[in-house]
Amino acid sequence: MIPHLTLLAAEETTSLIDWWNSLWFRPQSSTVAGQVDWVFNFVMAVCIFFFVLIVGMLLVFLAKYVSRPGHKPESSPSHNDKLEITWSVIPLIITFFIFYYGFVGYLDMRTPPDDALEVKVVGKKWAWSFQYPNGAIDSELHAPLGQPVRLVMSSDDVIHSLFIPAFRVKQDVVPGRYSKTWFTATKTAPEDNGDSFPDPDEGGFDLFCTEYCGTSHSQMKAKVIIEKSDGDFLNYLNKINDPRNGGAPVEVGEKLYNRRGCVQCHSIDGSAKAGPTWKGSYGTEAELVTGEKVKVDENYIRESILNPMAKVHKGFNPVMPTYQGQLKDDEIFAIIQYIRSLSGTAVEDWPARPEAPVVDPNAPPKN
Amino acid sequence: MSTATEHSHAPHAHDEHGHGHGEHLPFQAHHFADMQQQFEAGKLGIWLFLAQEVLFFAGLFCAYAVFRANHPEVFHNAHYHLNTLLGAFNTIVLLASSLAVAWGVRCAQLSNTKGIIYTHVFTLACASLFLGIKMVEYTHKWDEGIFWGAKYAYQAGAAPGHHFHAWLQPTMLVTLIAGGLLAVIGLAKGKAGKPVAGWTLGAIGVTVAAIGLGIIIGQGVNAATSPAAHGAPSEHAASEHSASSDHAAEEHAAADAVPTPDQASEPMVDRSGAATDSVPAEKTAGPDEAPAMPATPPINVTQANFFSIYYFMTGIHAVHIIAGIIALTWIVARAAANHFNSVYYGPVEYVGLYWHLVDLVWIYLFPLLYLIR
Amino acid sequence: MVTQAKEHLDFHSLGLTEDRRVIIPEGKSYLSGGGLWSWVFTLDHKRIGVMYLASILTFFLVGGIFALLVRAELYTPDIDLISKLFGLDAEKAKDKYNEFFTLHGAIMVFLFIIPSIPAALGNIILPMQLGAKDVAFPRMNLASYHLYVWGALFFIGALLMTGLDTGWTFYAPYSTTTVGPVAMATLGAFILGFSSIFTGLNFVVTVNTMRPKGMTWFRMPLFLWGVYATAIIQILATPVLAITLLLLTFERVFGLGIFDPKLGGDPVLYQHFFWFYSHPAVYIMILPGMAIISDVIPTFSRKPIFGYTFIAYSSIAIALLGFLVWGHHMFTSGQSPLASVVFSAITFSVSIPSAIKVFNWTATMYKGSIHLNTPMCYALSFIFLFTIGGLTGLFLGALNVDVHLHDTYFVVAHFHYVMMGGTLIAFLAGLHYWWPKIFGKMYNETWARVACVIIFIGFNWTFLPQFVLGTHGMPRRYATYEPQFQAGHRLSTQGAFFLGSGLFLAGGVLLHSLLKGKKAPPNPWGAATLEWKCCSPPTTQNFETTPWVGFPYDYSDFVYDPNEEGYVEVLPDLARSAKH
Repeated sequence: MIPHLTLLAAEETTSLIDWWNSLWFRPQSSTVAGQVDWVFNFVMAVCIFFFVLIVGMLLVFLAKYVSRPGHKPESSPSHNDKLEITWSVIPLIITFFIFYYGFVGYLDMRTPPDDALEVKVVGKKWAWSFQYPNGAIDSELHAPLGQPVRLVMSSDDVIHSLFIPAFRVKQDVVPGRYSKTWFTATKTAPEDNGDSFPDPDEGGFDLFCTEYCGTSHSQMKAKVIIEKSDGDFLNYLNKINDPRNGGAPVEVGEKLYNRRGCVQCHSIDGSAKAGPTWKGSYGTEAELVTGEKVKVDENYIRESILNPMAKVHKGFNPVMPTYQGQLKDDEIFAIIQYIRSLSGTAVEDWPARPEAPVVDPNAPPKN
Repeated sequence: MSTATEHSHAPHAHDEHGHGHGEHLPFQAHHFADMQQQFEAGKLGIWLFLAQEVLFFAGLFCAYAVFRANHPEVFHNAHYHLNTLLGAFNTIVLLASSLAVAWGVRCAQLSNTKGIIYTHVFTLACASLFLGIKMVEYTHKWDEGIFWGAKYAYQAGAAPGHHFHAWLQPTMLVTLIAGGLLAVIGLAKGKAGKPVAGWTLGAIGVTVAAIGLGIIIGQGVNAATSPAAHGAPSEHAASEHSASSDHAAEEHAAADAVPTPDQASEPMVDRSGAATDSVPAEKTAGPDEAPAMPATPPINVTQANFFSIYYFMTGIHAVHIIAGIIALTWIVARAAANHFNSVYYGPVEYVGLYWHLVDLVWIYLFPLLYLIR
Repeated sequence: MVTQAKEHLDFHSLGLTEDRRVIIPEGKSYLSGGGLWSWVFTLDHKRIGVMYLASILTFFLVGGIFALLVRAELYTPDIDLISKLFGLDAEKAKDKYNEFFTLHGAIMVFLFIIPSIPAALGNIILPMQLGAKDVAFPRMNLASYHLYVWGALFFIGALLMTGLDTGWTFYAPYSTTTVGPVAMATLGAFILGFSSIFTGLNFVVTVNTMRPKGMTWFRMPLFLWGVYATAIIQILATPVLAITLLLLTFERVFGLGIFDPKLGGDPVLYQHFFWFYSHPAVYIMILPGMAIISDVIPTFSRKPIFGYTFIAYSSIAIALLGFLVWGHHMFTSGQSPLASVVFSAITFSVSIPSAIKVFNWTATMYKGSIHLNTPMCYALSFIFLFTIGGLTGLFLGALNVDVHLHDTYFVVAHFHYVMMGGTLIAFLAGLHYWWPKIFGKMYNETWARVACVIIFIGFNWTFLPQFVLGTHGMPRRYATYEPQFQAGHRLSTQGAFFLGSGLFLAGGVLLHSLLKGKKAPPNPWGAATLEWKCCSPPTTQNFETTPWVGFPYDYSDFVYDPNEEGYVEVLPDLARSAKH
């Protein structure tokens, strides 16, 4: 049965230790993984010792003392306090060591270095999203090799739990509070070599949700991509930072509508929610609470996004938060194009613009 | 019964005596060797049951402790809505009832059947008085929109949104009349030589009527502590419930004027806007759809949470009172049937112990909920 | 303490005279007579126990079917089997899967394991081991069963309404927001909680006040110690679950705002409450199992139990320490690191009393005469499986290893080794041990042992691969999984069906014995505890004559009699001992 199980780990086994580790674990890919595996192996050694001892005694006694013709039970003491205290105290001492090693490893796990790169994580049924210091959001977690990354996590609905097996890192994501964890990757995931046998962590480390959260709990997963260098990481940040990489403006606008909270108050099917619907609104005349009328055009939409209280649509409460500083010009442009598309108005492609500026990942969100 | 004096010094003695008489006394179950074993089994049983009850309430006290430790200001502000005088009155009522029950157990040990009945009927009256007063407290809070959790809709100075207290008057009349009627029928039955039916009906009558009495007292205390509120509860709703004295009223006014951090962060409309503060997100974003980024706000604990705890704790306590009323009535009926004497009085003691626990829980609830300073 | 080898030196070959035989008078079986009503409202602890037994075995079947459905679905990484079987699209099929594992867990925990040994076997055996006619409060005992039925009806209601998908843990805020019949299920569990409290209360009072003369605390059978310790936990932990589930129900129905963060509640508080009960509940499940093993092993080794007092105290130690370790379910939940460290430290201390028991059981067999009857086979299988279950707990107690293993299949495998490899196997040991006493029939030993071996192999086949899946990061409660995990899941599913067939075989053997089994002698195994000193099956009063109370593990006075195909108690030879 055991050899069969080794199929789970497709690593080449060069030595007994490698074979053993690949039987039980994914390759250690973070700074804490080695410690976790060491404690695991220590406990395993203790377990194997006691298991062999107990089952061995069981089998020996069974062989020697099984009832058979001519065999009688012999007299033996019914208790032996010294023996019993011995086999109480020795395990107690051993468990103390297990506790101690686990405790030390745990402290390391819970104490991120001060210079850690902070990534905000939001769990929501049933997807993860990761926000980098420059404000860019992605559904994959990218991090530079060898640099500590601190995850500050929150949930929009129920409890989730972020688990990266290769890093031996796990932390529940609880609604109504921020939970934190961190890791420093020591390896990049193996490239996807297209073979038929699925390797763990191929093409990016697996990231799972391990706290049951409903229908698609098992599909609430993401990939962790470790960039080989800081430069690669910056390139990645720049790539996701530029909305134009998301496709045509209308597509980007639709994504923003869903991702940035518009969907909660604005419908696209004509029904009124907390705010006016977007369907067919472009180009119409809107009546304001002041009684004035205003044409719904690029300028009005732009103003409403950046300064929602300036011209409030009649029949709606002034509850919209400002998106000043949260949406880039290109993103506002994309949203406008999306609203235009909902009214059947012709949409435009990205306007000409110079290359996006290089962004420092540790800089605070700008624009 | 005839040997009551001889046994009065200790229950132990007459149990042994009972054992000596022979195998089966009227209320000895077949599987017990003797009455003493039966009594001890019952007593251990009720103590274990009470231990279970303590842990049942312990969960609630833990919840209380956690919420109060994390948000002391919420609890401090919220408790001004509770009428300390009514709480104190109820505390006295329950203490009196506990005394009566203990006295009743003593009467049982002395084979004094009349004593058992009188003390237990008094206890029943206290229990109902308590419930009547609690009804007044609840309805006045509901009128102001002080509900629990999601239903909380209190706004300082707003007109009452409900008129639950309109039901108090009819309830009072119905309970007084029905209770009185039952008591009179009971009296008649008793005179007609049916003590069991008579005392049982009488006890139920007193119980029902005491609810009405509780309502009268509750409303009276309410009116006395806040004269303005009685005529026009809408005028300054807050003072009605805070003030057991002018001093407290002033304090509360101060608390209203200078909002604590909790109030400042969510001014006045404590929970009414629960639905709008978190516009419900579309429930199912597809698995490939990354969620909106601005992260969820931290937990927002408000007075609504205090009242969730208040209603749940006092509500569960009231359920225990009602269970106690049923048990006490059962004791009255059995006492009237002359079941209890110095040899067999276990049930009286067991119910008495239970009643002490119900009392004890209130002894903790009162300062924890009403006397937060 | 020297005992005689029974089969080879039996009553006749030892030259014992008939006047030294302790006669156990036959009487009218408690099973016979009376219609349906005489069962439903019976006050006889044995009949209540038999009704419990029938009920829990029914729910074991139901829970087992859900387990097999879950395992079958996991044979492939995609959600295909349930889709095809029920004609559902992938989303609906995943919901269905979630319901299945929820019902499997909830039914197994609340309707099977918790009442299995205490309420079913305990109810029948406990008063008899005390030489008593009944438990202290027979009416409360009946009420406990009726509450069980009501609680079960709520669960069946939730099952029929479909959509209960919270997992058996009912974690808030998922449970307060999902659409299924959660309130119904939690109310059911609330009612079952009181059923459990009543049983525990009854047992504590019975053991405390109704021990016969001569049975001091340290002359009690260890089964009583175990059930007594269990009963203490039932009384002290279950009310906390009751209040928690009541709060949860109110949270859902009335929007109370204690656990739901949207209303200012604290979801981690729910977990504290829940595990304050549910961790001790683990000991409600395993302690009576250990208790059965402590009775079975000495009987079939024909040796007094080794280290009686250590075993007795370890039961109490487990019961008490079990209350202090609930936080080890929450190392990754966001509780404070300090709390995690403290809970981890205390957790390791619980492992010691369990270790003591295992060592003592093993030592009991030393120099014995081991009879491999079916109950003993199960007991040996228990030691093997429970040792694995207990030792794998050490991994989960270690803080940093637990962070990696929490909520993976490693945990699933661990608690199945304890709950199923431990409790269920011990339950089967007890069932086979007391079956002749309860129903007065002997089962077919050969087939029962075959079933035991199949269960043992099937069990390891099912759950060993899950340890490996877990360390590789396979999360639990997943309807679909990465293809890399398929090899392990395949093994596990194959094993599950093998295991299932073994359980069916065991059930078949027992049912067959009811119809065709030979009549059981009063004492087929030569045990020295009191329940064997009345006829099989007992009368309603249990004992027609008051039994003599000896040390429960002294087998020297029990001699095999081939005519009875069982053991008889031998009175001391007064003439001979006078000469000495």
